[in-house]
Amino acid sequence: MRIQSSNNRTLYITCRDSIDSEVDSNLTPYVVMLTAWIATDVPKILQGDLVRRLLLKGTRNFVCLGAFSEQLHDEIDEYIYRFDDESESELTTTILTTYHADESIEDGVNYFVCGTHFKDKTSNCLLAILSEKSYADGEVKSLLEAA
Amino acid sequence: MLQGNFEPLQIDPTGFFMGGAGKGKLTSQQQKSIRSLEKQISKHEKKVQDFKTNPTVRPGMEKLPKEVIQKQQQRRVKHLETEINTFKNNINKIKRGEIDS
Repeated sequence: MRIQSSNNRTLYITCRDSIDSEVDSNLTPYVVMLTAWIATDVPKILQGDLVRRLLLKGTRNFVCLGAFSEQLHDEIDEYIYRFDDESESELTTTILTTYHADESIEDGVNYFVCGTHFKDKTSNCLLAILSEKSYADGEVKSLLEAA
Repeated sequence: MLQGNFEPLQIDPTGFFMGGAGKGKLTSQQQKSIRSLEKQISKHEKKVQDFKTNPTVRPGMEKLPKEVIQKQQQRRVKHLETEINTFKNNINKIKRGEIDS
């Protein structure tokens, strides 16, 4: 699903099960939202080398929402450290990772759509990866659709 | 505790922020974004402080040479400090209207 937000950003919403087709498309998601409402969400999101694939696609800002978003944030940071070690890159100095466990869903969505910053306006693409089975993600989706 | 070259957001009851070169009215989205960024600064500063106090070694890396471990630990601190500076810069960009909110 593609949405043009009120602040003129291009926002894509995809479910976790369809992420392969989105990541393999020509999409360059500069900012990606991931959600972890329960502990088991964290390994589910990290499986399939998703973070690596997003990094290679050009993602430079990970926004984590949910009660377990700090754990997800820390795992993503660990992944980026390992990525830099293995590839001798310096992604750690260019990537932002945030977590919003102590904020309302509305505030987290607001930060994702309005508070993130793009280096240039040609890469203003946001991608939210949500679960179709999660009630909270349904709320996130509704807020994103209205953004 | 927020530190460094960062001026905490001061908003009067009508939504005007006070101080800085770009004084003006902030939208509710901008105000929320700034509050989110302030929280990120606070949380990431705590992470840096905790790590400096207790620098851990990543699992599986314990047997690496000391210099390699130190380099990894420095990278972690640098990453968190870069993030904090970026959050502060982004707050200033929002105040100056340089981020489309």
